[in-house]
Amino acid sequence: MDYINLTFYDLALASSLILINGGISIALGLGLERTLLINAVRMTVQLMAIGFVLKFIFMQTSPVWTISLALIMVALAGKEILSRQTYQLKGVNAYGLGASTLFCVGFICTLFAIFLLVQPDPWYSPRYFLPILGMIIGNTMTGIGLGMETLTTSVKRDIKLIEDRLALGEPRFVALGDHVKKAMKTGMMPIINAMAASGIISLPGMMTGQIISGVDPIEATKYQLMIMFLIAGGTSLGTTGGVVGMVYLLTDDRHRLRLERLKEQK
Amino acid sequence: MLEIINLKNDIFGPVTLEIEQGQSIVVRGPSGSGKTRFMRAIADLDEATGDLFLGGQDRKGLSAYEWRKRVRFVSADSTWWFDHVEEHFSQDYELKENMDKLALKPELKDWHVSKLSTGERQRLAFLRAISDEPQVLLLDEPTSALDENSAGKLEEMIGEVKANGTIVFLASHNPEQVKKFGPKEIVFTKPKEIVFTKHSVEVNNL
Repeated sequence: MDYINLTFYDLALASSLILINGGISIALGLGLERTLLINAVRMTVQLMAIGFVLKFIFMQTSPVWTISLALIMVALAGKEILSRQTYQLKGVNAYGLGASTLFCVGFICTLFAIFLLVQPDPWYSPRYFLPILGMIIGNTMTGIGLGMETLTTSVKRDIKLIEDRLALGEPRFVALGDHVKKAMKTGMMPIINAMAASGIISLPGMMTGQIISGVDPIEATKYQLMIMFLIAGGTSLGTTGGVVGMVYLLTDDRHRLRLERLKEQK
Repeated sequence: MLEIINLKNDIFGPVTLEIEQGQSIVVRGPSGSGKTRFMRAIADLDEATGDLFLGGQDRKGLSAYEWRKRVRFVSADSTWWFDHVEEHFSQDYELKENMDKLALKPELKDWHVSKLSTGERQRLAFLRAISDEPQVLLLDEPTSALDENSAGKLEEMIGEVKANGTIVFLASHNPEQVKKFGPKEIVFTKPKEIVFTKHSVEVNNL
């Protein structure tokens, strides 16, 4: 396998492209240059750090290390969901709903892939476990976040309408039915679009990576397909979990709206 | 018969009263005194402690939506979720006949809801609320957007529903209406304070 290593000089050159981005922001007065800089630095630090962490964990190959890192990944992704919400639940549910949904879906899908599909030996081999989990939760996170955001903002906007429907004797999932549907659609749209675009408009990142590192394109495609199916499944499970969970948390057992449980972020 | 026993939350009460089938009671008091909150609580749309029995059936024994199928709160301003008026009514409801009674043009039932005037919406919301024949109607200023003529028609129709055995609670600022649907009344003076006149049904006011 011939594989060309990148030097840090190469990276520095590539990063200069971000300056164009900054230039546009300044020229058009978008005010994005600060965020852009912070996020570019953040990305660099995060990726470098994870590179070293992964290298360390790959050397250990122990179930404890693999699972620990997996849990940290889920915990951080849970925080990411929370930070993108206009309205948050009060108390532990704010973080708990997204993170617990992500935890269940992430582990169900990853274990499914590990034990039934890829079957690496040992099962906790971090080379397989962590990237698969990462790709699933990275996408599921978006679905959950979008779904919850769509639901809370639309329910907040339509309080009166929902209460009128409840007053007419509709159970909560009927009164909130349109809002739930809209939220689920919004949550699942990115993965549905990604499926349509893969191969024609975009070559998915993972497949690109495998091809560059010398894997046969057909093999890379097979892996990519598996991952896409896992992501699609994970996203729909996660979006459903997040949205349905949110409906329960925004209503009570007497089918009343309880929007005082929400607070606006910042 | 509807029995309300010690119904109370942080805004009003406690209220205890009994009201027979086919009777009405006026809910009076300035805006913000808790009239709406009180009626919402009867429909279980707002939290409140206390017991309610409808025809001997304990509210606790019914799911909230079954209760609201029987005990219907109708707010002063209505919302509409489907595109057209007719979609909000069940197919076997005699919409045209009832619209006619309220002086609503028959073609209105095919209209897009955004075309309706405030008064038309209010009358249609009343029809929507009675179309599945709830046993208790809680009407929050049901004629607030209506001219005298259509208000009169609506009052007639409330009377008709009442004659069929429905219990009617009616919040109103209009003295004529108070006279028509009294003499039983509950008067909210300010939050937490409720006055009962000589016509009031039996009440414990702490």
